[in-house]
Amino acid sequence: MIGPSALPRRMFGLLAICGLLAACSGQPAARQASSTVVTSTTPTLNSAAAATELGPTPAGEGIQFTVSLRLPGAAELDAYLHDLITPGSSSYQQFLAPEEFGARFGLSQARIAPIVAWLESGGLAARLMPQRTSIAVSGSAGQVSNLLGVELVDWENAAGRRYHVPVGEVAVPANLNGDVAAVLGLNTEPLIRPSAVPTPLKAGAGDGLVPSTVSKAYEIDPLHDAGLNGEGMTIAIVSFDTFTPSDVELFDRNFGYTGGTPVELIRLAGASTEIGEGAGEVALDIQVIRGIAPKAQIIDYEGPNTSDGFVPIISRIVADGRAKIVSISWGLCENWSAPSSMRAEQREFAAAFAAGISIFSSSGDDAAYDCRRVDISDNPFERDLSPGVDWPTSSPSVISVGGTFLTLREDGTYVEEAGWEEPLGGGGGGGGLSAIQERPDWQSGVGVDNSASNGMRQVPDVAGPADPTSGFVVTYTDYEMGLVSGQVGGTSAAAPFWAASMLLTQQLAEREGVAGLGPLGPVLYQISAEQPTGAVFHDIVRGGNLLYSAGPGWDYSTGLGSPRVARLARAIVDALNQ
Amino acid sequence: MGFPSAPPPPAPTRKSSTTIIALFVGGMLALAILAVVFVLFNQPKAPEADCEPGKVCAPQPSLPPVPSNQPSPLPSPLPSVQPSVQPSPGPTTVPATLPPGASATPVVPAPTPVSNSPIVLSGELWQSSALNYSFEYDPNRWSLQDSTDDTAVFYSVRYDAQLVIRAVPAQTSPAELIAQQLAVVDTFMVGRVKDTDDYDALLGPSIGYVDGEGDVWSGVVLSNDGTPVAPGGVTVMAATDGRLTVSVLVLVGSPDAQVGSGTQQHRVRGQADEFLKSFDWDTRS
Repeated sequence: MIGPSALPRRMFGLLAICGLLAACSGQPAARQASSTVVTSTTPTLNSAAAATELGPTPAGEGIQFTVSLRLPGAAELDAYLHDLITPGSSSYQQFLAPEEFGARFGLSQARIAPIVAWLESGGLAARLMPQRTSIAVSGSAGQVSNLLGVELVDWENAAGRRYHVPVGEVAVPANLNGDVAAVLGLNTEPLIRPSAVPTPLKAGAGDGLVPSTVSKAYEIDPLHDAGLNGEGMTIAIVSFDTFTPSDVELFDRNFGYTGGTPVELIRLAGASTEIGEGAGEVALDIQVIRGIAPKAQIIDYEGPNTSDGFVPIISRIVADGRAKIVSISWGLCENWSAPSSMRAEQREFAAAFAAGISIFSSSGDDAAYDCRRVDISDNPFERDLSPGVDWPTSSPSVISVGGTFLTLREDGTYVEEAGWEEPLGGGGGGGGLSAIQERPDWQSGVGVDNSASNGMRQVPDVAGPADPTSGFVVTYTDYEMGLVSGQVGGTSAAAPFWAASMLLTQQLAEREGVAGLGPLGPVLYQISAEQPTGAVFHDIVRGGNLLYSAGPGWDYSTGLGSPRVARLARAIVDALNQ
Repeated sequence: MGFPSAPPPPAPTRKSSTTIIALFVGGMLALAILAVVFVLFNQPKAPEADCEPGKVCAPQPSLPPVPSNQPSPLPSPLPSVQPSVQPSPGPTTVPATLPPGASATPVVPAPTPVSNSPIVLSGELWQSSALNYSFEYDPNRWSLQDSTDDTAVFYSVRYDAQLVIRAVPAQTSPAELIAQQLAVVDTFMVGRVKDTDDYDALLGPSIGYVDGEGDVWSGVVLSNDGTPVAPGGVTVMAATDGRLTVSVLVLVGSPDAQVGSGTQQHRVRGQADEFLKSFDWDTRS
């Protein structure tokens, strides 16, 4: 018999209304008379509509947040970033260390000191990032409430994850308000999503991608054959969950890798210390990279999953200055990011761009409709079927990576790719036009100017294997099921695939005396324009993302296409050698 | 028989004995349809897997038995999981140090050799020799119940669902083929209305990368005695390449039943996408 009908999602409305109006859970704290209000920067979505209010956050509980700082030199920064990638300019390829960035574009120390003093007056610990984009702050919930004039209230979502939400508006002393651009991270509702799509593991010829097939299909083998395996190179992963180190050891054993460096963990304050729902994502990122660059030093930067969670992680990566290639497989619909949060995050991405860091960001797995949620537990009020793109992939300072469906021969050689789309399931590689971010000058080439263009950022820039049907085989420790193995796709796989491929390119560049690759987005467009079609990119002309079709040249489904890695690496190094 | 072909267009001639026979046959066919629907929706229901997006599915010990010569449709926990990861054939260890002379040798990619190796299939191949189209499906997820030159009918292995792919010459438009398929649906579903829930919306209908049209409906499925038995969801798409017009119909019982963090209809539709990706409109080319 057909089972009983279940229609629970239509019953979520009342709870969601209360969630949207977070103030119904408590009284706003009184503001200090001498303060002005900084808009509470993170909207309370309570995306899990069945969220439960638990009551005030215990006063002694540790709290972390970020004070994002105004960049008084923003106009000069725009000009500098343009010159940085313009051959012939005096600033061409003149990347800035974080301290240089801060001194040139940030607030003066004299203006920052009162902000730090104000934070410390409330008993909070404050750490200024050297690029002067933000201050990392920590203290107790009681101290935070007293200083900022907000009450923190605990909630628990349907998955049992506890988080806190500020009630009221953050108050900053009037004399500091012009320099404090935003106060971020007080709402710790986990809104940033991984872009991984698993399918059950299948046996037989159609098994998922393993390192050898990836290397053969995308012509990485010539780099490996030349001894380029990531040794001495460093790559960063942005994570909002964590991983199990023994999974990496198992991966090495399964694929015969020896002598690899253990994955380094840099865990920011407030990050989860135990594996959670996103553990598969972290494992995917690590294993895709390790399969391409097995000797590379992978640093997993883990931070708290908040809607503005990219600020502390990216600022830390820039401050550390160790990795010039970064992979991000997390994101959220750009409409869900508060404007002040997005501006703060964009300042961090710009600082990374200025430092010569290439950030590869997954374009999302909801095809051209990134704001459409499909989980039954999601807030129905947040469902949006209008075209939309993901954040931070729409940042003009990152490289957006879309998704493909890869077809191989049994000997592992490449046949073709199609833009990844699932007409019935609604999935597919993210792509389209940003509603918020403008298109950078460097995004140009055949197909970029099209009938849909409107001056806004167009994504993705490139693409890689993402359809779970042709996904990567990943074995990892799941937070509920223990060790599992599956075939995992999503643009989550495509982003680390590109990042690792470009890490080998960086190694080739260093071997041949090129100091640094710099932000690769402009270089990829330049090379695409210079090279014959198909020479270094697979120009993908089939498939799409449910709204836009893939086609010759750049398109909204697959960007410039997927890489023929060794050929592209050669072209990049040659271009930078000129 | 599973989901039948749509009835032929009405004959323009007056009723004759042939017509009467045809009506009799048609009546029998309709009875057969009802019987099939009854059987379909009265099959023992496979337990719903707690398999949510973002996770790898957990083994379900109460699943229907899987033939021993086929792999489990689900990943297994260790120790059986380790052998299932396929180590790369041939040498996999990347040299720890540069080979002699490597640093002096610039990387010059060699020309890509042409391979005659067969293309990897994502599942079982189904092919129409008469109409020259094909697609692939995962037999761990779909069971082929009926197959003719123009139509293939599959049952979902794990869900109360059926999928029908039908091809006709392109003289029939996609809209006409959709209407034909829905007419058949109406023989066992009452109260069929368009499903306007955003959650179920069909975005970007296409088959084998050929854009098409389609929509989603809901209604109540009838038993063979005409008794309403359960809600049903129907998704139909059709497209044409100028030679053929093809429809894909997905019928799901209790479409809004929750499966993991989604609905049964979403789960089934997601699994049905593999048919579309592998769809080859003309196997001769």
